[in-house]
Amino acid sequence: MAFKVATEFLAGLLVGGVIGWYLDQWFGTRPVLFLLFFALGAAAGMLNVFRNAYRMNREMQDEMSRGETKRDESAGDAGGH
Amino acid sequence: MAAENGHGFDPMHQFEIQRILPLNIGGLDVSFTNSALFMVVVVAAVSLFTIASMSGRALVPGRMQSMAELSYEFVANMVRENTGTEGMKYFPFIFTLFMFILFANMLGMIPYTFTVTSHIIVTFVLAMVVFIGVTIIGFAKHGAGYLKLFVPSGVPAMLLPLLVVIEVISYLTRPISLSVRLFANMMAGHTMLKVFASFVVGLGIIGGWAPLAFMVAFTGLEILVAFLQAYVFAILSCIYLNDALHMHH
Repeated sequence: MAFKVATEFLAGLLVGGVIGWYLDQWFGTRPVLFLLFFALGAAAGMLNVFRNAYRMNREMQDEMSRGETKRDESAGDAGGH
Repeated sequence: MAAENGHGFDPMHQFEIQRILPLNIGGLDVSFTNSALFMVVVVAAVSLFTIASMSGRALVPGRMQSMAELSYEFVANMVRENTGTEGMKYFPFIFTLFMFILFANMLGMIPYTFTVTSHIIVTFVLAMVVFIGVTIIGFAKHGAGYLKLFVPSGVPAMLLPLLVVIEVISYLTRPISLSVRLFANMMAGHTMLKVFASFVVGLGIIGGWAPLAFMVAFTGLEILVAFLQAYVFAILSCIYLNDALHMHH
């Protein structure tokens, strides 16, 4: 889990850094775009981490509510008999 | 470290690529390596597993047939739950992907074999196939409207250019995080196994039992990781496919 978060974040930094590096080479503005895109990459990594967390949260809630309805049904059955 | 008998101990030796059949076409080194050999073995094993175990087509499945049916149902449910019935068109691809990675990971757990998925180039190409495929499906289905994936809704116009760039970078990180996760898990696990195995030899008959017990437990964990990583790769492919098919945020 923690490892998953770390790879998401590092992948963001890596992609941002690489894009910035090549744009710098293209426009000849050595450190500026690299730094800018590195920061944007960090933001993208964070975004991915948050999306993952939201997804996991939703799945967990789905599972919990599913478990609850199941329990309710069985409880209802028990009450009915 | 513990090697006193001359040849040094190297936990990374297991990842070395050896040319079995040197080949050179037009300046490109396309040798048949041990990695390629094990990919062939994996494909053959998956084919054998699915074809041979289903050849009986018994109404009441035997052991092998129910294993093949279980894996089919497992992947089919995963695709249906994550992408809906529209995604079932891509079930053969996801099933192939899952079985290839699963068998590559599992065969790698057998001593003296080579773990194909412990090389980033292999996992990266697998991830790139998913990434490019999903992008093509997205554009084919929605046309230029697929670009709306990069425009978050309900954002002030001032911030939009910044957020679009962030969204594009976030989209481009998919193949990287997908491939690095599988590769790093497999490589770290196999390196750990080798290091602890060397402790067993190094500590000898008296002290070697503790790392041996740990090795047994750790091998079990590694088998779990081998399955889990194949599952994670397949389910993330499904999630990306779902994004391309349904495009909701």
